[in-house]
Amino acid sequence: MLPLCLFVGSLLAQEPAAPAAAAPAATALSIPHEEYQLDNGLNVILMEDHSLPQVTINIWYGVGSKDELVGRTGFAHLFEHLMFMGTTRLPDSGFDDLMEAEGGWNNAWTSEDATDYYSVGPSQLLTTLLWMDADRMEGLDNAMTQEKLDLQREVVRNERRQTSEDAPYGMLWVELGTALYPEGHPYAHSVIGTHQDLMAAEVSDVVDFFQTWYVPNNASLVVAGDFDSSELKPFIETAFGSIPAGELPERPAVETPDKPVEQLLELTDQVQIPMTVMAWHSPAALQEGDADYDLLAAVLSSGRSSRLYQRLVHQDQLALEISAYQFSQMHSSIFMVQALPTEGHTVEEIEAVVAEEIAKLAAEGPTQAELERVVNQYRVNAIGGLESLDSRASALNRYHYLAGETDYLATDLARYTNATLADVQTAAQALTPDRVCIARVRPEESDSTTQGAE
Amino acid sequence: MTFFLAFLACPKTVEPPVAAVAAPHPLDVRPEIGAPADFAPQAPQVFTLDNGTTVWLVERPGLPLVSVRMVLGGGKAMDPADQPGLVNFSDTMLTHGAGDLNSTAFAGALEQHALSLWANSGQATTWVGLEATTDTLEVGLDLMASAVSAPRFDAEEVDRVRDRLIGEVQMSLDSPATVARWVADSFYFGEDHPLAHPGIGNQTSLTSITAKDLKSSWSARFAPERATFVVSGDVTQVDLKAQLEDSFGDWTGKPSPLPEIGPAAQASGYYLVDNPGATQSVLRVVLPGWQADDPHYVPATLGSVVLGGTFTSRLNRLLREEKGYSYGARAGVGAGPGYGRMVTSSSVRGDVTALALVDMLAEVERITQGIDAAELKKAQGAAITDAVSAMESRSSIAASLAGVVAMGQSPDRMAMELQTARNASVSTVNAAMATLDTDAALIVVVGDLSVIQPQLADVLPDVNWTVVEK
Repeated sequence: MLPLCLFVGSLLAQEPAAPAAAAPAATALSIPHEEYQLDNGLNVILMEDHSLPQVTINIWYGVGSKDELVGRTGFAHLFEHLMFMGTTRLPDSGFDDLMEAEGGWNNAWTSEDATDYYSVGPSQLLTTLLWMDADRMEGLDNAMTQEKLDLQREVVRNERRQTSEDAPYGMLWVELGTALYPEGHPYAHSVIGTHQDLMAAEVSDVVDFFQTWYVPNNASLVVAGDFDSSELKPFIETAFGSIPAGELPERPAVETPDKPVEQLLELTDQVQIPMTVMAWHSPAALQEGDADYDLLAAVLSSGRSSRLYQRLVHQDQLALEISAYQFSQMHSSIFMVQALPTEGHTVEEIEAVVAEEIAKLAAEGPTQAELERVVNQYRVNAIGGLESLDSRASALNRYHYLAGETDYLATDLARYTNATLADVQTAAQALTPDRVCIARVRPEESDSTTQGAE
Repeated sequence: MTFFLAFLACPKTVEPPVAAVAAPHPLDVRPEIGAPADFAPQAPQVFTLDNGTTVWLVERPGLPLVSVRMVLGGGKAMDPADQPGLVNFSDTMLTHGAGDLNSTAFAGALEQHALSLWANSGQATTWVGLEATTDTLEVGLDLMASAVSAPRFDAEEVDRVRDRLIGEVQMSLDSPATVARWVADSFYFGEDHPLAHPGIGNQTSLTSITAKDLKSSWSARFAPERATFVVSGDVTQVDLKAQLEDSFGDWTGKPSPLPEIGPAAQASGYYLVDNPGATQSVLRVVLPGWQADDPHYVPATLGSVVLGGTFTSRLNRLLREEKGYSYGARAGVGAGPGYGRMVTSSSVRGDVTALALVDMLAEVERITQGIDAAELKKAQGAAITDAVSAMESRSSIAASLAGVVAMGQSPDRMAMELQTARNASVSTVNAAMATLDTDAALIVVVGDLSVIQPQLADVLPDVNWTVVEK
């Protein structure tokens, strides 16, 4: 369920940071910035930081795989690849060539909810980076060809093979949405899509998608780093201001299901150790209750003093590894517990104990010490997130898009620091057996090394 | 689209505006690119503790965070021949109980303060890392000191960690890219070489290792005179020295001599590993390269960037963007104790494995003939951007400098590498790349043999492939 990246190198950048350390309570967290809108609706966020001679720009488009049409799964991500295939002013591979010639680099990712493009480079490259993004926002469609589509279609199909089909347990993440969400739901299909749908995409789809979604009033631009805002604003107006606004389609209301479509998903793969993922629907990102599930996940599995580690790995020795986490999405999230059994034990044994431990939390709630421990981890993580330019730029756009409020870091953290024992208990109470979807991956062939249930 | 419709809707009472052809679009003007700012990586302050331990510090106020790395000589090179994985297992145990605290109590002490503490073994070094805030640095350093000076190796915890490590071995063998790396390493270094085996070991050795073995491995390697601290964060030299003296002042050790690491065998040849049912094949090509002290080393890193270090590199452009064989292809140079090498790799579609391999080998051959000025400029730009990024966070500063320590280089190495890269010319890079011996290439392909063997026989009829087990 990770967002898909244009280039494999930076997947790591999307992973949550490891907990770092405790913060002084008095630190007021914020990411100082300036925000305004151009007449065409483009949201602009400027964040100066002169500590290093570098800049990053981050353009977030409000379109993801949830917006794909029937028979075109995988298209939002395929489109993301096509954004690098050249324009009339900067044809073919000019985007990457010009950027790299001056020490810049870029990447992009597509999730269910959004598509994010970011470029990093030395300070003197900033106006060029902005110009290139304005240029493709203005006229990518004019230069689209069958050849470009065919080529990136092959690249994306290779990506599917590498990151899903040949990756151990990889197809579980492709299939899980189908088991959780009803057919036709925007989250039912995977971001990577099917080979069949990728093959079906046509140039006219690319042009329509671009003209519908890649408009300034569906985008937010963060510029961060070593620049002078007053000098840059006129340039941004010149570069982006002439791009006409589009008419965004009415978005249908998205259903937030309570129960999965299937309660059991059984897969096989070329792996030696089975895996289980127990998944429940949970509240949408930043909505009421959302943070409580993050805290619940941390109580269950963050660190070796967590409940599931202590019970399953330490005491009962049923699991090699256990992790609980929430995959947060704009309209409906997924709470997951994922584990690998030790030799001689089964995924079913693990699932029974997880259910038991969750029921215990539902009945009694966490302890005050547990809550303080995990809240402290969130507090420290929030400080760690202020270190790199890229993580600050990305956070500003994420808040703008999901919270509708860019200056949201302190509010976000307060959701965790203000959570009560009862809040976490209430979250646990919703993780009932009738709402769970269990997805299992078992080894393809049974031989002497096979572990777990037959 | 909106523009066009609006124009059509205009009443035709005037002539079409002439300005439509005259006014250039604002985006038709490409911005100028100015001169780069001066930049040099910040050199660490270097000082010594009373017990002889060297400390490198880069002060970074602003956020209340401190990153600590301790680098010790040793690493997997100190695995006994019959116990691969011992060092990694022993290092993993350091944070699983130390001093008066059993595994659970030790983890609880860390997690209560949101501290992160871990130990990793590399080829010839072990790294112990700590991420703390200014408020928790003291307690974090105490726990770190306890982990490195008084690990417990409790029998039950040894068994738990053993199970997990065996699981990691099994999962690694399920990953074709890892298998390709392991197989290539075994031939590159050669049988009996201390760096030839995977640091995690294998199921047999992990099963046989005892708590006593783990403790012996630890005591043979951990001592203050073997350690270098690298620290970056909101702490002054005076305060840091006092805290380190306080936490580590009593630490003593009697380490065994560090092993002599002989030269890598650098075997050449063609090796195949079967991965039935795979849709892709992993290609890995290894050539003898340059050690870190070789004058060719930094120019060679630039050459490898041109070959496969960025998106527009020759390999990625060809295999991904022109042929559509792959999701990405890379190259890089690496150096360690007694060796240096250049590695190229990619995962390619099964049905074009042989064609992709021929393309990869042709690009390796072509890079030996040199690069051009534009390519050099690109590689230099990437080197500067990487150097800037390394200075971006406390943890990236600490990790980068710990890498310098692990290479046995001086505190100004990052600045020196950057300056050498800036001063490099096409001819210095080409001189480095010309020393590559493509006849000495080691080639490993992991894929579905039923799909790829016929192609390889067809496209590379003169090559003798050796099929090896995972």
